[in-house]
Amino acid sequence: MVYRSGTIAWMGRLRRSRFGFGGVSATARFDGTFFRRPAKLTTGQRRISWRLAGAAGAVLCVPLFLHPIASAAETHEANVTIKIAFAGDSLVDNYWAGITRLVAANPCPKITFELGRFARNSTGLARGDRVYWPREIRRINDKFKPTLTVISIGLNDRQFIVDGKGARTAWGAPEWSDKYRHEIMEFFEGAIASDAIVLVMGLPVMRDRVANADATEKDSMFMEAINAIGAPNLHYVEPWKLSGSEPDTFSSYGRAKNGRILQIRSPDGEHFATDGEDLLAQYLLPVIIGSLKEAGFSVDQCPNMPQTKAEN
Amino acid sequence: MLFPTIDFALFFAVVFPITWLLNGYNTWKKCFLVAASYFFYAFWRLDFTLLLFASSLGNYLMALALGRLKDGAARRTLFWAAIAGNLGLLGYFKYYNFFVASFVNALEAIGFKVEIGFIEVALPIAISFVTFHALSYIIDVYRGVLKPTTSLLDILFYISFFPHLIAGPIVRANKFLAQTVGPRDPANIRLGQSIFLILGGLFKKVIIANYLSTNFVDDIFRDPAANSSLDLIFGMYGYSLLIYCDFSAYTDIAIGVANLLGYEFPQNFNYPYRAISVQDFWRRWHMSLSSWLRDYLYIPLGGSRFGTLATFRNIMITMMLGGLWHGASWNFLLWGGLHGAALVIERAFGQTGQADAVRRSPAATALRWFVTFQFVSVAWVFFRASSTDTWLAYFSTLFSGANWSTSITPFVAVIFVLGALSHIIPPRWFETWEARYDRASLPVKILVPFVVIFLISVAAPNGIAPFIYFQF
Repeated sequence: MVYRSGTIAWMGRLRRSRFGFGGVSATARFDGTFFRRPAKLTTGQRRISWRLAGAAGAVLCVPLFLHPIASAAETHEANVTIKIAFAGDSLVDNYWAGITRLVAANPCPKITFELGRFARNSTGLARGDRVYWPREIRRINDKFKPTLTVISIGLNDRQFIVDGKGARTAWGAPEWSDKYRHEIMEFFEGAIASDAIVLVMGLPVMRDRVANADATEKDSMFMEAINAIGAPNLHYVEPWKLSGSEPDTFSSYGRAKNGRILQIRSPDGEHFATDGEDLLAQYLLPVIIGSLKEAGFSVDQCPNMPQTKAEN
Repeated sequence: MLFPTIDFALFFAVVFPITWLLNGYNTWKKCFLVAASYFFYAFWRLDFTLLLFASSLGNYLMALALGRLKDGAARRTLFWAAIAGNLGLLGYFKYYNFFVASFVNALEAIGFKVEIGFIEVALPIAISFVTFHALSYIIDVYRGVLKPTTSLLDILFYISFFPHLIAGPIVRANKFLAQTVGPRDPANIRLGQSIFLILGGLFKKVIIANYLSTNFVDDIFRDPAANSSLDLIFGMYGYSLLIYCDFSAYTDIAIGVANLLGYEFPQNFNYPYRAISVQDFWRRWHMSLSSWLRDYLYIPLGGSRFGTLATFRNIMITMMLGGLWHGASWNFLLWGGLHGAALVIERAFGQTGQADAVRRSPAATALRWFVTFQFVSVAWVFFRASSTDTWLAYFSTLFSGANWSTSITPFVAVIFVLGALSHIIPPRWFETWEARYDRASLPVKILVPFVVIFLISVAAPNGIAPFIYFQF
């Protein structure tokens, strides 16, 4: 190997290797072309090759000079007045992503909303030893100070419960449902502690029969808890339905907003694909705007925004 | 059951000693490993274990029949029936909805309205890998490379062996079945190498891939238009590191685990981002898949035997089908097509025989490495993008150059550096540490994995995302 110095000197060492961080075999065979000793170059050839490299490097650097670093003039400070937090498990990420795209595509609400993503994947109300949501939501309220919080949770809660004090309740135990209801109450009370408007999203239809039955049960528990708390700023939002009518049936493909049939649910049968996220956002944004208006906020309506239910 | 979980640690803590206790009783050992593998698979879906069994049984019977028939129409028909059966199963679960949607959209575009129902069944995890393992067996038997085994147990073992079951590496039937004949020699276990592969794999997946994914890359790809051009460039490189650290971690752990149980798996990655051409990249990336595609698709299509144009066509078909193998999406097809086109261009230029010495000079080698890495990284955007709109938004925002600020935090920058180190650290460092580990006393040998796993679990984020290749 003749690569003695320079940025690619380390490449030569691979030939002697048995395996490495990325390689794995005791009989690793390497590409002969790469490790073959380069033929001796004439001075002219050497000069040409360096010129080629230099020219390519210069071409690649052009964009950096054409676009001044951090074109500050273009990053106009947003006139943010309304903060929306998205908190919960991975499903809330689907809402957040869809709303983010929808808001970004509408210049008018873009300068009105600040969106905060507080999804914690693989968490829920059951495993307080991982993330204790009643505490976490208070932390989000203190840190982000949302005007409105969108909550989606419960996807990962078919398991034993560990509460905020570490006490365990076995999955399937008679007291499991009561304990879970208690965790829901704690969480919702934490969410409304800051006086933010809280929208609790119902869990959508799932492909798996057991998961779907569980989602339906969770939705009833959420509604029960919201009625029991009776706070004016805490609302249950019916889950998005593809058909828009009852009962909803699971469909991994459906008509996207562009009218074409596309994949709207992810292969796991629970989450949403990108086009499904956009459908979710089309459904949720009017609900958000309606709730804000109801609470007395002035929300700019743009001509190309989805209309609120009342306006429909 | 994911590798980097307590569930798997407990599972392996039971499987490992029992496997070696049964080593003198090979048939019982294989029975036990098949049972353990089915248990491993049933952790996701119990009902799909029946599918796994049915596929194994069907291929076992087909191969036996192929072995008994003489060359002729009947044998050919049976062979194609076996191929169609395997691909049909894959097509039904993985591609049916995609093709129906594409067909309906195409008809609607020209004014026809049709109603075709979709199938709402879960995609059986690992079906692509199971199919490729089964096809490898059937094709080798048909070609006479391999005699069909009369042991159903061996086929069940080959197809379901848990280290490779979910996401490879794709192990050839002839290589694996040869290892099932008798007891394994414990002296052949490379303990240091296996332990370091497993620990390195855990680090790459749990620390690098997970943090890079949740703290940076996922956000970038969720809404590319909302990011600066600089962040999109970093997002592209970030995903390159992420998918390498994620997938190579899985195969490193799989190879390490299999070796601890006495079985050899083929190498699957060899510093892919050190490649200096796209062809070189495919000799280093997912090597078990690329060699599978070469041997069972590209060469049967004619390979490079029928002239330049036919060779280019065969390359394109192989790469596009290889892309589609990853998932039912036009983006995967496009990704495969891009790599195919790059291979065709390289081949076209390679055939001109110009300035070979210049191309191999250090400067040209560095330039070729740079260009190859940029191409591979750009192509990953198509692979990662969840829809056509996503990659269109990605590139239009990237090239608009509207904003060159970055949201990369110092923590993410450190993760980037750690990811890059996976290609920079000299392999001999690992060899030295493995040799030291092999020479160490028993308490040290036990203590090291525990300490490293403890440190990784302390530093790990909440929740482990499934490996990217699980969906394939």
